[in-house]
Amino acid sequence: MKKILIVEDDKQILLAMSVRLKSHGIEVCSAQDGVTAISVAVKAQPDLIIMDIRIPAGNGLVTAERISSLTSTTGTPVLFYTASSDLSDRVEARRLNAAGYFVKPEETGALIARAVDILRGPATNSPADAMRPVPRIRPR
Amino acid sequence: MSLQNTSDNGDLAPDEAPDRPVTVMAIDDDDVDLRTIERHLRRIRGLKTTFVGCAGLPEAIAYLSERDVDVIILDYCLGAATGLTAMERLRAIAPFTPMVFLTGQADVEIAVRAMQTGAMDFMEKGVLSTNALARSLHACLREADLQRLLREDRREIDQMNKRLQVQNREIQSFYHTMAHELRTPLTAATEFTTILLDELVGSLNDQQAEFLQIIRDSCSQMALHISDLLDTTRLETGKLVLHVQPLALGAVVADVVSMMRHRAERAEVGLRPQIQSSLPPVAGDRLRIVQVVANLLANAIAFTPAGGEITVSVERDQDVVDGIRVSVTDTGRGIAAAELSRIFDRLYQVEGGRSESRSGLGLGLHICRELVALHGGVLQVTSSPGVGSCFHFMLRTLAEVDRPVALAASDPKPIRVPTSGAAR
Repeated sequence: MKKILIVEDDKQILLAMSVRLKSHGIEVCSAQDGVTAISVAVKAQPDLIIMDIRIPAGNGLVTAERISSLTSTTGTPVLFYTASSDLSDRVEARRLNAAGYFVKPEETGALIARAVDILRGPATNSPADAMRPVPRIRPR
Repeated sequence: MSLQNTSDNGDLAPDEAPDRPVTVMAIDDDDVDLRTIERHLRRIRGLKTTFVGCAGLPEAIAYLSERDVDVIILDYCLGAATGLTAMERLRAIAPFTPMVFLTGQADVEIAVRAMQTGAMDFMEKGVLSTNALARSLHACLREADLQRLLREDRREIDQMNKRLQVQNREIQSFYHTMAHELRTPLTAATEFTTILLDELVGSLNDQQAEFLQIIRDSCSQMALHISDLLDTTRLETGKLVLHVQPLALGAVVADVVSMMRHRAERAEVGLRPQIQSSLPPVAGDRLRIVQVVANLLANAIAFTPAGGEITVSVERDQDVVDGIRVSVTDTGRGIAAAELSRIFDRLYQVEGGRSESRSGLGLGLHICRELVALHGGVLQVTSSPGVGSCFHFMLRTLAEVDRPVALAASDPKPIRVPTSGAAR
Protein backbone atom coordinates (compact mmCIF):
# COMPACT_ATOMS: atom_id res chain seq x y z
CA MET A 1 0.00 0.00 0.00
CA LYS A 2 1.31 3.45 -0.92
CA LYS A 3 1.78 5.92 1.89
CA ILE A 4 1.26 9.69 2.05
CA LEU A 5 2.45 12.05 4.76
CA ILE A 6 0.09 15.00 5.21
CA VAL A 7 1.61 17.98 7.00
CA GLU A 8 -1.29 20.22 7.99
CA ASP A 9 -1.93 22.20 11.16
CA ASP A 10 -5.69 22.46 10.70
CA LYS A 11 -7.20 19.32 12.26
CA GLN A 12 -10.41 19.48 10.22
CA ILE A 13 -8.60 19.73 6.90
CA LEU A 14 -6.25 16.96 8.02
CA LEU A 15 -9.18 14.67 8.82
CA ALA A 16 -10.96 15.45 5.55
CA MET A 17 -7.84 14.86 3.46
CA SER A 18 -7.16 11.58 5.27
CA VAL A 19 -10.68 10.33 4.56
CA ARG A 20 -10.45 11.27 0.88
CA LEU A 21 -7.01 9.76 0.35
CA LYS A 22 -7.85 6.58 2.25
CA SER A 23 -10.83 6.13 -0.08
CA HIS A 24 -8.28 5.73 -2.87
CA GLY A 25 -6.59 2.93 -0.92
CA ILE A 26 -3.74 5.13 0.26
CA GLU A 27 -2.25 4.84 3.74
CA VAL A 28 -2.04 8.20 5.49
CA CYS A 29 0.26 9.45 8.23
CA SER A 30 0.32 13.03 9.45
CA ALA A 31 2.12 15.80 11.26
CA GLN A 32 0.85 19.18 12.40
CA ASP A 33 4.12 21.12 12.52
CA GLY A 34 7.44 21.30 10.74
CA VAL A 35 9.58 19.55 13.33
CA THR A 36 7.17 16.62 13.78
CA ALA A 37 6.91 16.38 9.99
CA ILE A 38 10.63 15.67 9.69
CA SER A 39 10.61 12.89 12.30
CA VAL A 40 7.41 11.31 10.92
CA ALA A 41 8.88 11.41 7.39
CA VAL A 42 12.03 9.60 8.56
CA LYS A 43 10.10 6.96 10.54
CA ALA A 44 7.21 6.35 8.13
CA GLN A 45 9.13 6.66 4.81
CA PRO A 46 6.14 8.01 2.82
CA ASP A 47 5.95 7.75 -0.99
CA LEU A 48 4.61 11.29 -1.24
CA ILE A 49 4.26 14.33 1.03
CA ILE A 50 1.38 16.83 0.97
CA MET A 51 2.70 19.92 2.70
CA ASP A 52 0.90 22.99 4.01
CA ILE A 53 3.09 26.12 3.93
CA ARG A 54 1.96 28.13 6.97
CA ILE A 55 2.63 25.61 9.74
CA PRO A 56 4.14 25.99 13.22
CA ALA A 57 7.81 25.20 13.87
CA GLY A 58 9.27 26.07 10.48
CA ASN A 59 7.22 26.77 7.36
CA GLY A 60 6.37 24.06 4.84
CA LEU A 61 8.87 25.22 2.23
CA VAL A 62 11.79 25.01 4.65
CA THR A 63 10.49 21.73 6.10
CA ALA A 64 10.23 20.16 2.63
CA GLU A 65 13.77 21.23 1.83
CA ARG A 66 15.04 19.80 5.12
CA ILE A 67 13.28 16.48 4.57
CA SER A 68 14.75 16.23 1.08
CA SER A 69 18.24 16.87 2.41
CA LEU A 70 18.10 13.79 4.69
CA THR A 71 19.54 10.63 3.16
CA SER A 72 16.64 8.39 4.15
CA THR A 73 13.94 10.71 2.77
CA THR A 74 15.67 12.40 -0.15
CA GLY A 75 13.77 12.29 -3.43
CA THR A 76 10.30 12.03 -1.87
CA PRO A 77 8.04 14.14 -4.10
CA VAL A 78 6.23 17.02 -2.39
CA LEU A 79 2.91 18.63 -3.27
CA PHE A 80 2.35 21.98 -1.59
CA TYR A 81 -1.22 22.62 -0.44
CA THR A 82 -1.78 26.06 0.97
CA ALA A 83 -4.27 28.83 1.56
CA SER A 84 -1.63 31.25 0.35
CA SER A 85 -1.68 32.20 -3.31
CA ASP A 86 1.27 34.49 -2.63
CA LEU A 87 3.47 34.67 -5.70
CA SER A 88 6.64 34.44 -3.60
CA ASP A 89 5.54 31.10 -2.11
CA ARG A 90 4.70 29.77 -5.55
CA VAL A 91 8.05 30.89 -6.93
CA GLU A 92 9.90 29.32 -3.99
CA ALA A 93 7.97 26.06 -4.47
CA ARG A 94 8.99 26.03 -8.11
CA ARG A 95 12.60 26.76 -7.21
CA LEU A 96 12.51 23.76 -4.88
CA ASN A 97 11.22 21.67 -7.81
CA ALA A 98 7.99 20.72 -6.06
CA ALA A 99 5.73 18.23 -7.85
CA GLY A 100 2.82 20.68 -7.55
CA TYR A 101 1.36 23.75 -5.85
CA PHE A 102 -2.35 23.81 -5.02
CA VAL A 103 -4.41 26.57 -3.44
CA LYS A 104 -7.07 25.81 -0.81
CA PRO A 105 -9.90 25.24 -1.25
CA GLU A 106 -10.54 25.46 -4.97
CA GLU A 107 -7.64 23.28 -6.11
CA THR A 108 -8.18 20.42 -3.65
CA GLY A 109 -9.73 18.10 -6.24
CA ALA A 110 -6.77 18.62 -8.53
CA LEU A 111 -4.38 17.96 -5.63
CA ILE A 112 -6.01 14.61 -4.84
CA ALA A 113 -5.97 13.68 -8.53
CA ARG A 114 -2.30 14.59 -8.81
CA ALA A 115 -1.41 12.65 -5.65
CA VAL A 116 -3.21 9.53 -6.87
CA ASP A 117 -1.53 9.96 -10.26
CA ILE A 118 1.96 10.17 -8.77
CA LEU A 119 1.41 7.16 -6.49
CA ARG A 120 0.00 5.08 -9.30
CA GLY A 121 3.37 5.51 -11.02
CA PRO A 122 4.25 5.68 -14.69
CA ALA A 123 3.25 2.06 -15.44
CA THR A 124 -0.42 2.86 -15.97
CA ASN A 125 0.15 6.23 -17.55
CA SER A 126 0.53 6.94 -21.22
CA PRO A 127 4.06 6.41 -22.62
CA ALA A 128 4.46 10.18 -22.91
CA ASP A 129 3.81 10.60 -19.18
CA ALA A 130 6.19 7.77 -18.38
CA MET A 131 8.96 9.79 -19.99
CA ARG A 132 8.32 12.67 -17.63
CA PRO A 133 9.65 11.94 -14.15
CA VAL A 134 7.91 13.27 -11.06
CA PRO A 135 9.85 16.37 -9.90
CA ARG A 136 11.85 15.89 -6.69
CA ILE A 137 12.75 18.57 -4.21
CA ARG A 138 16.24 19.95 -4.84
CA PRO A 139 18.02 20.81 -1.60
CA ARG A 140 20.22 23.89 -1.83
CA MET B 1 38.07 96.68 -14.17
CA SER B 2 36.43 98.63 -11.39
CA LEU B 3 32.79 99.18 -10.89
CA GLN B 4 31.41 102.51 -11.90
CA ASN B 5 29.60 104.57 -9.38
CA THR B 6 26.22 105.48 -10.70
CA SER B 7 23.67 107.57 -8.93
CA ASP B 8 20.30 106.07 -9.80
CA ASN B 9 18.19 105.53 -6.71
CA GLY B 10 17.20 101.80 -7.14
CA ASP B 11 13.84 102.01 -5.43
CA LEU B 12 11.97 98.78 -5.00
CA ALA B 13 8.22 98.99 -5.30
CA PRO B 14 6.61 98.30 -1.90
CA ASP B 15 5.14 94.98 -3.06
CA GLU B 16 8.51 93.85 -4.37
CA ALA B 17 10.45 94.34 -1.19
CA PRO B 18 10.86 91.32 1.09
CA ASP B 19 9.85 92.10 4.67
CA ARG B 20 12.89 90.47 6.21
CA PRO B 21 16.54 91.56 6.13
CA VAL B 22 18.42 89.99 3.25
CA THR B 23 21.99 88.73 3.58
CA VAL B 24 23.98 89.31 0.41
CA MET B 25 27.43 87.83 0.02
CA ALA B 26 29.77 89.30 -2.57
CA ILE B 27 32.96 87.47 -3.56
CA ASP B 28 35.49 89.61 -5.37
CA ASP B 29 39.27 89.85 -5.04
CA ASP B 30 39.12 93.58 -5.75
CA ASP B 31 38.39 95.45 -2.53
CA VAL B 32 37.16 98.53 -4.39
CA ASP B 33 34.60 96.46 -6.27
CA LEU B 34 33.38 94.92 -3.03
CA ARG B 35 32.85 98.34 -1.53
CA THR B 36 31.04 99.57 -4.65
CA ILE B 37 28.65 96.63 -4.47
CA GLU B 38 28.06 97.33 -0.79
CA ARG B 39 27.34 100.98 -1.53
CA HIS B 40 24.82 100.06 -4.23
CA LEU B 41 23.14 97.66 -1.86
CA ARG B 42 22.79 100.30 0.85
CA ARG B 43 21.16 102.61 -1.68
CA ILE B 44 18.38 100.22 -2.54
CA ARG B 45 15.45 101.69 -0.73
CA GLY B 46 12.93 99.37 0.86
CA LEU B 47 15.46 96.58 1.23
CA LYS B 48 17.23 95.84 4.50
CA THR B 49 20.51 94.16 3.66
CA THR B 50 23.35 92.62 5.59
CA PHE B 51 26.48 92.67 3.49
CA VAL B 52 29.13 89.96 3.66
CA GLY B 53 32.18 90.81 1.56
CA CYS B 54 34.69 88.05 0.82
CA ALA B 55 38.00 88.57 -0.93
CA GLY B 56 38.23 84.96 -2.06
CA LEU B 57 36.62 81.55 -2.30
CA PRO B 58 38.13 79.99 0.88
CA GLU B 59 36.81 82.85 2.98
CA ALA B 60 33.37 82.53 1.41
CA ILE B 61 33.26 78.76 1.91
CA ALA B 62 34.35 79.14 5.54
CA TYR B 63 31.50 81.62 6.11
CA LEU B 64 28.91 79.49 4.30
CA SER B 65 29.82 76.41 6.31
CA GLU B 66 28.66 78.30 9.41
CA ARG B 67 25.77 80.41 8.15
CA ASP B 68 23.35 80.82 5.26
CA VAL B 69 23.12 83.82 2.97
CA ASP B 70 20.22 84.78 0.70
CA VAL B 71 22.14 85.69 -2.45
CA ILE B 72 25.74 85.27 -3.62
CA ILE B 73 27.26 87.77 -6.03
CA LEU B 74 30.32 86.20 -7.60
CA ASP B 75 33.12 87.78 -9.62
CA TYR B 76 33.61 85.71 -12.74
CA CYS B 77 37.39 86.16 -12.73
CA LEU B 78 38.28 85.13 -9.23
CA GLY B 79 42.00 84.60 -8.88
CA ALA B 80 43.05 81.26 -10.31
CA ALA B 81 39.59 79.70 -10.33
CA THR B 82 37.23 80.59 -13.17
CA GLY B 83 33.76 81.65 -12.17
CA LEU B 84 32.24 78.32 -13.19
CA THR B 85 34.59 76.24 -11.05
CA ALA B 86 34.05 78.63 -8.17
CA MET B 87 30.30 78.28 -8.56
CA GLU B 88 30.50 74.49 -8.49
CA ARG B 89 32.47 74.62 -5.23
CA LEU B 90 29.96 77.04 -3.71
CA ARG B 91 27.05 74.86 -4.88
CA ALA B 92 28.47 71.97 -2.89
CA ILE B 93 28.06 73.93 0.32
CA ALA B 94 25.08 76.16 -0.55
CA PRO B 95 23.08 74.13 -3.05
CA PHE B 96 19.97 76.30 -3.15
CA THR B 97 21.38 79.83 -2.74
CA PRO B 98 20.80 81.94 -5.85
CA MET B 99 24.01 83.22 -7.48
CA VAL B 100 24.63 86.23 -9.65
CA PHE B 101 27.75 86.53 -11.81
CA LEU B 102 29.65 89.74 -12.24
CA THR B 103 32.01 89.97 -15.14
CA GLY B 104 34.39 92.54 -16.52
CA GLN B 105 33.35 92.22 -20.10
CA ALA B 106 30.09 91.52 -21.84
CA ASP B 107 30.79 88.03 -23.05
CA VAL B 108 27.65 86.29 -24.26
CA GLU B 109 29.27 82.87 -24.28
CA ILE B 110 30.31 83.18 -20.64
CA ALA B 111 26.85 84.47 -19.77
CA VAL B 112 25.18 81.49 -21.41
CA ARG B 113 27.52 79.02 -19.74
CA ALA B 114 27.00 80.68 -16.37
CA MET B 115 23.24 80.48 -16.70
CA GLN B 116 23.46 76.88 -17.85
CA THR B 117 25.53 75.99 -14.80
CA GLY B 118 22.81 77.37 -12.61
CA ALA B 119 23.54 81.07 -12.08
CA MET B 120 20.35 82.99 -11.72
CA ASP B 121 21.54 86.23 -13.23
CA PHE B 122 24.50 87.84 -14.93
CA MET B 123 25.68 91.46 -14.65
CA GLU B 124 28.40 93.45 -16.33
CA LYS B 125 30.60 95.44 -13.98
CA GLY B 126 30.89 98.33 -16.43
CA VAL B 127 27.19 99.10 -16.37
CA LEU B 128 26.32 98.03 -12.82
CA SER B 129 23.81 100.35 -11.22
CA THR B 130 21.81 100.36 -8.03
CA ASN B 131 18.70 99.81 -10.11
CA ALA B 132 20.15 96.85 -11.99
CA LEU B 133 21.37 95.30 -8.74
CA ALA B 134 17.99 95.87 -7.09
CA ARG B 135 16.17 94.20 -9.96
CA SER B 136 18.56 91.31 -10.04
CA LEU B 137 18.35 90.78 -6.29
CA HIS B 138 14.61 90.95 -6.38
CA ALA B 139 14.40 88.38 -9.19
CA CYS B 140 16.80 86.11 -7.32
CA LEU B 141 14.89 86.33 -4.06
CA ARG B 142 11.56 85.72 -5.71
CA GLU B 143 12.93 82.76 -7.67
CA ALA B 144 14.59 81.36 -4.55
CA ASP B 145 11.31 81.67 -2.66
CA LEU B 146 9.47 79.80 -5.40
CA GLN B 147 12.14 77.13 -5.50
CA ARG B 148 11.96 76.75 -1.74
CA LEU B 149 8.18 76.38 -1.86
CA LEU B 150 8.53 73.81 -4.62
CA ARG B 151 11.10 71.89 -2.60
CA GLU B 152 8.82 71.98 0.44
CA ASP B 153 5.87 70.80 -1.65
CA ARG B 154 7.94 68.04 -3.16
CA ARG B 155 9.19 66.98 0.26
CA GLU B 156 5.61 66.89 1.51
CA ILE B 157 4.50 64.88 -1.53
CA ASP B 158 7.42 62.47 -1.05
CA GLN B 159 6.52 62.01 2.58
CA MET B 160 2.87 61.48 1.73
CA ASN B 161 3.90 59.01 -0.95
CA LYS B 162 5.99 57.05 1.51
CA ARG B 163 3.14 56.98 4.01
CA LEU B 164 0.76 55.76 1.31
CA GLN B 165 3.21 53.08 0.23
CA VAL B 166 3.46 51.82 3.80
CA GLN B 167 -0.33 51.89 4.11
CA ASN B 168 -0.66 50.06 0.82
CA ARG B 169 1.71 47.35 1.98
CA GLU B 170 -0.26 47.02 5.21
CA ILE B 171 -3.53 46.69 3.30
CA GLN B 172 -1.96 44.10 0.98
CA SER B 173 -0.67 42.14 3.89
CA PHE B 174 -4.06 42.37 5.60
CA TYR B 175 -5.80 41.07 2.49
CA HIS B 176 -3.43 38.14 2.27
CA THR B 177 -3.84 37.28 5.94
CA MET B 178 -7.59 37.62 5.63
CA ALA B 179 -7.64 35.38 2.55
CA HIS B 180 -5.60 32.77 4.40
CA GLU B 181 -7.87 32.86 7.44
CA LEU B 182 -11.02 32.62 5.31
CA ARG B 183 -9.73 29.86 3.10
CA THR B 184 -8.74 27.50 5.89
CA PRO B 185 -12.24 26.93 7.37
CA LEU B 186 -13.68 27.09 3.85
CA THR B 187 -11.41 24.24 2.84
CA ALA B 188 -12.64 22.10 5.73
CA ALA B 189 -16.27 22.87 4.81
CA THR B 190 -15.68 22.06 1.13
CA GLU B 191 -13.75 18.89 1.88
CA PHE B 192 -16.27 17.37 4.27
CA THR B 193 -19.07 18.22 1.87
CA THR B 194 -17.13 16.44 -0.87
CA ILE B 195 -16.60 13.42 1.39
CA LEU B 196 -20.35 13.23 1.99
CA LEU B 197 -21.15 13.80 -1.70
CA ASP B 198 -18.68 11.11 -2.75
CA GLU B 199 -20.52 8.81 -0.30
CA LEU B 200 -17.27 7.89 1.42
CA VAL B 201 -19.09 7.63 4.76
CA GLY B 202 -22.46 6.24 3.68
CA SER B 203 -24.99 6.59 0.92
CA LEU B 204 -27.15 9.67 0.36
CA ASN B 205 -30.65 10.09 -0.89
CA ASP B 206 -31.23 12.45 -3.84
CA GLN B 207 -32.37 15.37 -1.75
CA GLN B 208 -29.41 15.10 0.61
CA ALA B 209 -27.08 15.01 -2.38
CA GLU B 210 -28.80 18.04 -3.91
CA PHE B 211 -28.55 20.06 -0.71
CA LEU B 212 -24.92 19.11 -0.19
CA GLN B 213 -24.22 20.18 -3.78
CA ILE B 214 -25.72 23.58 -2.91
CA ILE B 215 -23.41 23.83 0.09
CA ARG B 216 -20.41 22.96 -2.06
CA ASP B 217 -21.40 25.47 -4.76
CA SER B 218 -21.73 28.15 -2.09
CA CYS B 219 -18.28 27.30 -0.77
CA SER B 220 -16.87 27.55 -4.30
CA GLN B 221 -18.58 30.89 -4.77
CA MET B 222 -17.00 32.18 -1.58
CA ALA B 223 -13.59 30.84 -2.61
CA LEU B 224 -13.99 32.68 -5.91
CA HIS B 225 -14.82 35.94 -4.16
CA ILE B 226 -11.68 35.58 -2.04
CA SER B 227 -9.57 35.01 -5.14
CA ASP B 228 -11.20 37.99 -6.86
CA LEU B 229 -10.40 40.22 -3.90
CA LEU B 230 -6.78 39.10 -3.98
CA ASP B 231 -6.57 39.52 -7.76
CA THR B 232 -7.92 43.05 -7.43
CA THR B 233 -5.35 44.05 -4.85
CA ARG B 234 -2.63 42.46 -6.97
CA LEU B 235 -3.79 44.33 -10.06
CA GLU B 236 -3.78 47.59 -8.14
CA THR B 237 -0.24 47.11 -6.94
CA GLY B 238 1.03 45.68 -10.20
CA LYS B 239 1.82 42.39 -8.49
CA LEU B 240 -0.26 40.21 -10.74
CA VAL B 241 2.27 38.40 -12.91
CA LEU B 242 1.34 36.40 -15.99
CA HIS B 243 2.89 33.01 -16.71
CA VAL B 244 3.01 33.35 -20.45
CA GLN B 245 3.29 30.38 -22.77
CA PRO B 246 2.26 29.59 -26.34
CA LEU B 247 -1.49 28.94 -26.27
CA ALA B 248 -3.88 27.35 -28.73
CA LEU B 249 -6.67 29.78 -27.97
CA GLY B 250 -9.27 27.60 -29.69
CA ALA B 251 -8.51 24.60 -27.50
CA VAL B 252 -8.45 26.71 -24.32
CA VAL B 253 -11.83 28.24 -25.10
CA ALA B 254 -13.25 24.83 -26.07
CA ASP B 255 -12.20 23.54 -22.61
CA VAL B 256 -14.01 26.41 -20.92
CA VAL B 257 -17.12 25.79 -23.01
CA SER B 258 -17.24 22.14 -22.00
CA MET B 259 -16.72 23.11 -18.35
CA MET B 260 -19.65 25.51 -18.51
CA ARG B 261 -21.96 23.30 -20.56
CA HIS B 262 -23.64 21.78 -17.53
CA ARG B 263 -24.45 25.17 -16.11
CA ALA B 264 -25.84 26.41 -19.40
CA GLU B 265 -28.03 23.30 -19.59
CA ARG B 266 -29.33 23.92 -16.09
CA ALA B 267 -30.22 27.46 -17.14
CA GLU B 268 -31.80 26.10 -20.34
CA VAL B 269 -29.53 28.29 -22.41
CA GLY B 270 -27.97 27.01 -25.64
CA LEU B 271 -24.16 27.10 -25.78
CA ARG B 272 -22.70 27.12 -29.27
CA PRO B 273 -18.93 27.16 -29.82
CA GLN B 274 -17.69 28.43 -33.19
CA ILE B 275 -13.98 27.78 -33.16
CA GLN B 276 -11.93 28.21 -36.34
CA SER B 277 -9.53 25.33 -36.85
CA SER B 278 -5.74 25.54 -37.26
CA LEU B 279 -5.32 29.03 -35.82
CA PRO B 280 -1.74 30.01 -34.95
CA PRO B 281 -0.89 30.12 -31.21
CA VAL B 282 -0.98 33.27 -29.12
CA ALA B 283 1.18 34.17 -26.12
CA GLY B 284 -0.87 34.01 -22.95
CA ASP B 285 -1.33 32.78 -19.41
CA ARG B 286 -3.62 29.79 -19.79
CA LEU B 287 -5.23 30.04 -16.35
CA ARG B 288 -5.90 33.74 -16.74
CA ILE B 289 -7.41 33.36 -20.21
CA VAL B 290 -9.60 30.56 -18.83
CA GLN B 291 -10.58 32.87 -15.98
CA VAL B 292 -11.60 35.64 -18.41
CA VAL B 293 -13.59 33.41 -20.78
CA ALA B 294 -15.24 31.50 -17.92
CA ASN B 295 -16.25 34.79 -16.32
CA LEU B 296 -17.70 36.15 -19.56
CA LEU B 297 -19.60 32.88 -20.08
CA ALA B 298 -20.88 32.81 -16.49
CA ASN B 299 -22.18 36.35 -16.99
CA ALA B 300 -23.77 35.50 -20.33
CA ILE B 301 -25.55 32.51 -18.76
CA ALA B 302 -26.71 34.58 -15.80
CA PHE B 303 -28.15 37.33 -17.98
CA THR B 304 -29.72 35.20 -20.73
CA PRO B 305 -33.26 33.97 -20.15
CA ALA B 306 -34.20 30.30 -20.66
CA GLY B 307 -34.46 29.46 -24.34
CA GLY B 308 -31.75 31.96 -25.27
CA GLU B 309 -28.46 31.16 -26.91
CA ILE B 310 -24.81 31.97 -26.28
CA THR B 311 -22.25 31.81 -29.06
CA VAL B 312 -18.57 31.55 -28.18
CA SER B 313 -16.32 32.14 -31.14
CA VAL B 314 -12.59 32.10 -31.73
CA GLU B 315 -11.55 33.35 -35.15
CA ARG B 316 -9.05 35.40 -37.07
CA ASP B 317 -9.71 39.10 -36.54
CA GLN B 318 -11.15 40.68 -39.66
CA ASP B 319 -9.29 43.95 -39.22
CA VAL B 320 -5.99 42.92 -37.68
CA VAL B 321 -3.91 40.47 -39.73
CA ASP B 322 -2.16 38.79 -36.81
CA GLY B 323 -5.07 39.07 -34.38
CA ILE B 324 -7.25 36.30 -33.00
CA ARG B 325 -10.59 37.39 -31.71
CA VAL B 326 -12.53 35.72 -28.92
CA SER B 327 -16.14 36.73 -28.49
CA VAL B 328 -19.01 35.71 -26.25
CA THR B 329 -22.37 36.73 -27.71
CA ASP B 330 -25.63 36.22 -25.89
CA THR B 331 -29.30 36.79 -26.62
CA GLY B 332 -29.89 38.20 -23.16
CA ARG B 333 -31.61 41.40 -22.15
CA GLY B 334 -28.65 43.53 -23.20
CA ILE B 335 -27.04 46.42 -21.40
CA ALA B 336 -28.41 49.96 -21.40
CA ALA B 337 -26.21 52.56 -23.09
CA ALA B 338 -25.80 54.42 -19.81
CA GLU B 339 -24.41 51.33 -18.16
CA LEU B 340 -22.10 50.29 -21.00
CA SER B 341 -19.36 52.72 -20.11
CA ARG B 342 -19.37 51.68 -16.48
CA ILE B 343 -19.62 47.90 -16.50
CA PHE B 344 -15.84 47.43 -16.46
CA ASP B 345 -15.46 49.75 -13.46
CA ARG B 346 -14.31 48.20 -10.26
CA LEU B 347 -17.22 47.47 -7.89
CA TYR B 348 -19.85 48.32 -10.53
CA GLN B 349 -22.80 45.96 -10.48
CA VAL B 350 -25.63 45.41 -12.91
CA GLU B 351 -28.89 44.63 -11.16
CA GLY B 352 -31.04 41.63 -11.86
CA GLY B 353 -29.02 38.65 -12.97
CA ARG B 354 -30.40 35.12 -12.74
CA SER B 355 -29.71 34.89 -9.01
CA GLU B 356 -30.15 38.32 -7.53
CA SER B 357 -29.17 37.17 -4.10
CA ARG B 358 -25.60 36.57 -5.29
CA SER B 359 -24.81 39.54 -7.42
CA GLY B 360 -21.09 39.25 -6.76
CA LEU B 361 -18.61 41.84 -5.63
CA GLY B 362 -18.61 43.81 -8.86
CA LEU B 363 -15.04 42.74 -9.53
CA GLY B 364 -15.48 40.12 -12.26
CA LEU B 365 -15.53 42.25 -15.40
CA HIS B 366 -13.03 44.68 -13.93
CA ILE B 367 -10.58 41.83 -13.39
CA CYS B 368 -11.34 40.44 -16.89
CA ARG B 369 -10.58 43.78 -18.50
CA GLU B 370 -7.33 44.15 -16.55
CA LEU B 371 -6.25 40.59 -17.35
CA VAL B 372 -6.89 41.13 -21.06
CA ALA B 373 -4.98 44.41 -20.83
CA LEU B 374 -2.02 42.59 -19.23
CA HIS B 375 -2.06 40.39 -22.34
CA GLY B 376 -1.86 43.51 -24.50
CA GLY B 377 -5.51 43.36 -25.58
CA VAL B 378 -8.67 45.33 -24.92
CA LEU B 379 -11.88 43.79 -23.61
CA GLN B 380 -14.81 45.48 -25.32
CA VAL B 381 -18.55 45.19 -25.34
CA THR B 382 -21.33 45.99 -27.76
CA SER B 383 -24.93 45.62 -26.71
CA SER B 384 -28.48 46.31 -27.78
CA PRO B 385 -31.07 46.28 -25.00
CA GLY B 386 -33.55 43.49 -25.60
CA VAL B 387 -31.36 41.85 -28.26
CA GLY B 388 -28.20 40.79 -26.47
CA SER B 389 -24.58 41.61 -25.70
CA CYS B 390 -21.25 40.71 -27.23
CA PHE B 391 -18.05 40.78 -25.17
CA HIS B 392 -14.91 40.38 -27.23
CA PHE B 393 -11.16 40.78 -27.11
CA MET B 394 -8.29 40.24 -29.47
CA LEU B 395 -4.86 38.72 -28.82
CA ARG B 396 -1.97 38.77 -31.28
CA THR B 397 -0.50 35.58 -32.62
CA LEU B 398 2.80 34.39 -31.28
CA ALA B 399 4.87 35.17 -34.37
CA GLU B 400 4.33 38.87 -33.75
CA VAL B 401 5.08 38.79 -30.05
CA ASP B 402 8.65 39.40 -29.03
CA ARG B 403 10.18 36.34 -27.39
CA PRO B 404 7.46 35.19 -24.98
CA VAL B 405 8.68 34.05 -21.60
CA ALA B 406 7.87 30.39 -21.24
CA LEU B 407 7.18 30.19 -17.52
CA ALA B 408 4.14 27.97 -17.58
CA ALA B 409 3.95 25.30 -14.94
CA SER B 410 4.60 21.81 -16.19
CA ASP B 411 2.23 20.34 -13.66
CA PRO B 412 -1.42 20.34 -14.65
CA LYS B 413 -3.28 23.08 -12.84
CA PRO B 414 -6.97 22.94 -12.08
CA ILE B 415 -9.20 25.40 -13.82
CA ARG B 416 -11.01 28.07 -11.87
CA VAL B 417 -14.64 28.27 -12.82
CA PRO B 418 -16.94 30.95 -11.54
CA THR B 419 -19.75 29.10 -9.85
CA SER B 420 -23.30 30.32 -9.88
CA GLY B 421 -24.25 33.93 -9.54
CA ALA B 422 -24.07 36.97 -11.71
CA ALA B 423 -20.67 38.48 -11.56
CA ARG B 424 -21.48 41.14 -14.11
